[in-house]
Amino acid sequence: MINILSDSLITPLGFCSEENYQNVKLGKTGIKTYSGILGVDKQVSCSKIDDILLDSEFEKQINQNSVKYTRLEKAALLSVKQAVDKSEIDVTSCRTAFFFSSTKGNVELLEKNSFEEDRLYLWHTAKMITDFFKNPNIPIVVSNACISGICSIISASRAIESGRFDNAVIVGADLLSKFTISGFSCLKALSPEPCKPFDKDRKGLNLGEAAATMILSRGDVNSKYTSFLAGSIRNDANHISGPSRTAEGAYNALTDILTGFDTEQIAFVSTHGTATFFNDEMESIAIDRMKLNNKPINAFKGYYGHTLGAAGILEAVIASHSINDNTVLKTRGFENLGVSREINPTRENLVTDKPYFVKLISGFGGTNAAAIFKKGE
Amino acid sequence: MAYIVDYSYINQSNLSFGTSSFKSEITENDLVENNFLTAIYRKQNYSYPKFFKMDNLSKIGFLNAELLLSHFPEVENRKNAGVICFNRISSLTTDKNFENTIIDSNNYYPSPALFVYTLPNIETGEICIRHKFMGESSFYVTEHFNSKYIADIVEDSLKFNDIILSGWSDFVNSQIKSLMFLVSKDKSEDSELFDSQNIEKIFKSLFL
Amino acid sequence: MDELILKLKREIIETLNLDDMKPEDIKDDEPLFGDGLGLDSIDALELIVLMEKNYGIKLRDASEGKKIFASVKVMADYIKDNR
Repeated sequence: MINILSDSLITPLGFCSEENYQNVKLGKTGIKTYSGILGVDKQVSCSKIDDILLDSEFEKQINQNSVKYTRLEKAALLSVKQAVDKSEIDVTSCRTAFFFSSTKGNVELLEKNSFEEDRLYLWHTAKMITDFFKNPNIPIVVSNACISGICSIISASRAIESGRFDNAVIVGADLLSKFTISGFSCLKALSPEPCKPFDKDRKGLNLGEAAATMILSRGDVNSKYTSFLAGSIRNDANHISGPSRTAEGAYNALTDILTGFDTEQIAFVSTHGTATFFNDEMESIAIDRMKLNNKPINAFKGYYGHTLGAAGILEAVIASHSINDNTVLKTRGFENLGVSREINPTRENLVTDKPYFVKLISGFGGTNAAAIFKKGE
Repeated sequence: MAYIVDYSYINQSNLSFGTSSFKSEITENDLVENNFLTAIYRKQNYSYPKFFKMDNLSKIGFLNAELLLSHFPEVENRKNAGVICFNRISSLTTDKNFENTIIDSNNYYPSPALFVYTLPNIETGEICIRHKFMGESSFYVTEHFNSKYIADIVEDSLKFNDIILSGWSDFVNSQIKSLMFLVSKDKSEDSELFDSQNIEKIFKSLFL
Repeated sequence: MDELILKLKREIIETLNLDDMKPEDIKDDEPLFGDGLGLDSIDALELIVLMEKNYGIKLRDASEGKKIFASVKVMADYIKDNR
């Protein structure tokens, strides 16, 4: 059994997990609408961390000159430091693994000429983190599209259960850039307005940025900490950027973790809910095939936008805080169901006494993952 | 426990490719009309038009998987077959190509076909599509080829999959070196353990 | 018109990486999507970029594209009417 000893979120909604959770519970959003942003000349709604706040928090908490680091490195180091300080693990131990989850890392450096090429590599960013915390291990870098965050949690739990490690520090981070905004824009995947997951008027996703950290440890299911119980990663084998029309991967991943499980005990399913036409439709099919039609489902993209490599960790952290608060959070942006299956996205925060939640997530390359967590005792 | 069923490789520095039991070479003549990867595709008479839409990383994965699995037709369409790949540079070559379509604001035409390949795990996705593998697909980035890292991660995944294709690829001075293993939890007659020692031995025999 | 159709066919082959095809392999009226050339949604998006980059024609979205990309002849007619 794996426990989540501590977590930390650096996002437009706050510079620690508690602040983030309270803002989400109050229905606040980090998404703003811009007439142009980061060199992209069109209306874009996205969720951006304040640069001045980031630099001042970084210099205060990390005590280093912020000029030497990229935005991504600052956000990641800040997030990891907070989570590490809150836990009691020894980060310098060879029994502590480090995982880094990111899709594009320092990609904005492609626009700049004055940097060393190595800085573009994800292993370099991960190594910067392990070096900072004086951890002797080679960091494990997961780059598996938008499911990277949940993959890291699954991979870390397997590494702990194999006996190779006792603890794992998992940080996921991705930032806004001209690169990703241009890319998703040319795929016609972006909504110019704040996104509306599962809604009949949904027009696409909003991009966001975040650094999110979780610290995992071998523990037990009756612990005061949230537990990670099981996870599965499954490919659709269908298309590199469009989800399966029958939700094969998502359905198989859910089946893997829920076979023999009493789904009555599940408080909610935290979905990917990007608010693109195809993703939300696919997830509704997966939920329907699992016969979870009446189960409350939610999505957090209306608060944070799609934070890519950070998403799986960020959203699992928020979900974890909510279940320990006996709350099922509302799906910001959702009003009227606009998918082909009868499913139950939340329109307001609900009270729950059920102990489990499921996280469902999908990404490019036909990737899907599902994971189940239990609240702390 | 994990066992090596077979492996395939591509080595641009000596223009060779093959498996443990089959070796072939690209000649200078083959390269007159085609680049190195396309020359392998044509030499092997593969017929998969989507190959030409792929970026180099996906082409490498496709070719390695094709070389391997042509000997193991029974592995096709496996619900619990997975693909786990590793490299050093992620999708950086394609990232730079995509960046070229957006860097000039007077000639700003971001390319959808390039953008979809700016994730390294598309390599694993293309293999899953081709061979209908519906198990786990994952991608990891490491500074160097690391046989223990690969062995540990794949062995962990094999607890949840029956069979895994696991590949390492890299462009060293723009020369492609790639190695892909077919790894099973079942031991067959001659199969060696998929462990750090054996992975390292095979890598060195091919590339050093 | 014939010149435009030939130019379009070359551009489609190059842009969509249809390496094993020549212009004479694409019939003027052949459906580009579905059963004909079997192009997919990413190809449709690339053709939208091609229309803008090479002909200065901006399409609203992928669904408008699907109508205009019915065949090379339909594309050529649309370009002639809208450039």
